Amino acid sequence: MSFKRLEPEDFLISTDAIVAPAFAGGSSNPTQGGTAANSGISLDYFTAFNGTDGRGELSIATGVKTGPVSGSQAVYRQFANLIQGNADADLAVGTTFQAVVIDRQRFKQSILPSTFRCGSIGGVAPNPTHVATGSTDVTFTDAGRQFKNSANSLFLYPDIGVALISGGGSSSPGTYTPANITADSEEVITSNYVFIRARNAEFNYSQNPTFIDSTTGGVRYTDFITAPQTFITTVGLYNDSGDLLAVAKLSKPLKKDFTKEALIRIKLDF
Amino acid sequence: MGYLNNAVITVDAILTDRGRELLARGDGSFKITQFALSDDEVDYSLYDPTSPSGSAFFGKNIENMPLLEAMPKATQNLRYKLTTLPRGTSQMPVLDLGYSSITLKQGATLSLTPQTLNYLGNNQVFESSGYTVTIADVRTMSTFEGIGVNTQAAQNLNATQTLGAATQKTVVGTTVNLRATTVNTLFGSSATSIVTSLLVVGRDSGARANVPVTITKNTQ
Repeated sequence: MSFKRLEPEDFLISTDAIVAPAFAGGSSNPTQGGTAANSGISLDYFTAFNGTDGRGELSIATGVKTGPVSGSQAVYRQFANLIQGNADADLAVGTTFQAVVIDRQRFKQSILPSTFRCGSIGGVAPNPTHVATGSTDVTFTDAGRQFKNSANSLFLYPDIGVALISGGGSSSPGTYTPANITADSEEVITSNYVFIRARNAEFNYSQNPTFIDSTTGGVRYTDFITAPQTFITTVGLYNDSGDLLAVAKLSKPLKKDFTKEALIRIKLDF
Repeated sequence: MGYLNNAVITVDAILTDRGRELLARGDGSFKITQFALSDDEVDYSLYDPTSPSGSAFFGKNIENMPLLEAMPKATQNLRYKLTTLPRGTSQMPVLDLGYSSITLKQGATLSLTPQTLNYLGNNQVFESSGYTVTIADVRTMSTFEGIGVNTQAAQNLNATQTLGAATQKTVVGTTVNLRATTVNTLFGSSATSIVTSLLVVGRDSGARANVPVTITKNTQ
């Protein structure tokens, strides 16, 4: 037999949190040496496009609650709607803010709050530059978790990749220094583990043409009649119809004979 | 494509093209229920039973070889499966298709009934689970069907339609019926024959055989 059925105990589902630097080139800081570029929509919006893959890494926008109708008001109402569920509501950060919006591909599922640092952005500088991440420091909004610093001048919404810094407002976002922002991304990956168990009496012969003597049709070496050896290089996972669904390669051949059993753990990420 | 780092034993698992297709369907067909092992890339002529270093070193040339990464094309993996046979087996199962090559005229039919030799002490020559038969270009056949295996899984596979750019088709059965295409456009303006291949694998033994198939154009 070439196929062996898997038993229920051969399957395991596990979730693992993967934390990594959020920005291009494996950096926790965005756009090394780059500057923010005007997106062309309005002076209220800036996007940093100088990542090593040319993709925008973060945007900076100014939000102002009151005053003449402007792009800044639209930004304020946009975040009020997202965070409070009410565009007319006041945000906890105050009536003016600078928003740091990190590209979704950078923060993946969320920003890891304990790694987030934000220095001076658009002429405003939160102090402390980090949010409190103790077990009692989290509150929940329409935008998911909310963390803030002790001075209520920096608010982080890690589940939507946004930080709001109190202040600024009347002018455009202004200067932007890459080193002022630090963030790691966080994502939860669900992995399926499949345990492949080859018992001692199983899989000791091969259909490999070099295993067979081409002239006699017998096994290549007389030793192989009583003590065959095979070398596992590939594991194939199949459904009942015989479709090859997934394939795993070992990094080096694994010797198998009647005196050895093999246990191989296959990890499948979706 | 690249060589895997062989400093440590690791497993690099990927979905095949077929696996992605079935996963996308979301109809439950992506359900892993069985596995097979293979020794693709291994050349047993490198096994050295005369090594003066002793039996522990007979296979050292094979054990130390670097392996290529897994490839997503399902047909390029597990070409040579490892099989479970009784200890003392001296003759490996081989498939006898009755043909070393197949040539069909347009519209001609052929019934192929593979036999497995040297399997289970020669007590039987037909594998009870049947054979999977894959044609590399199903456009060359107006009929390509497997019969004789009536499990639900086999019937599902045999009912699968070939869609889009996929031209390969696999059926399961103890007998496979072929009928060469009557469509002339496949031959182009000047060709008088088209060539494809038929891969037959014993579902129990893992024995495999590959035969070229030629379809010749009716000229009158």
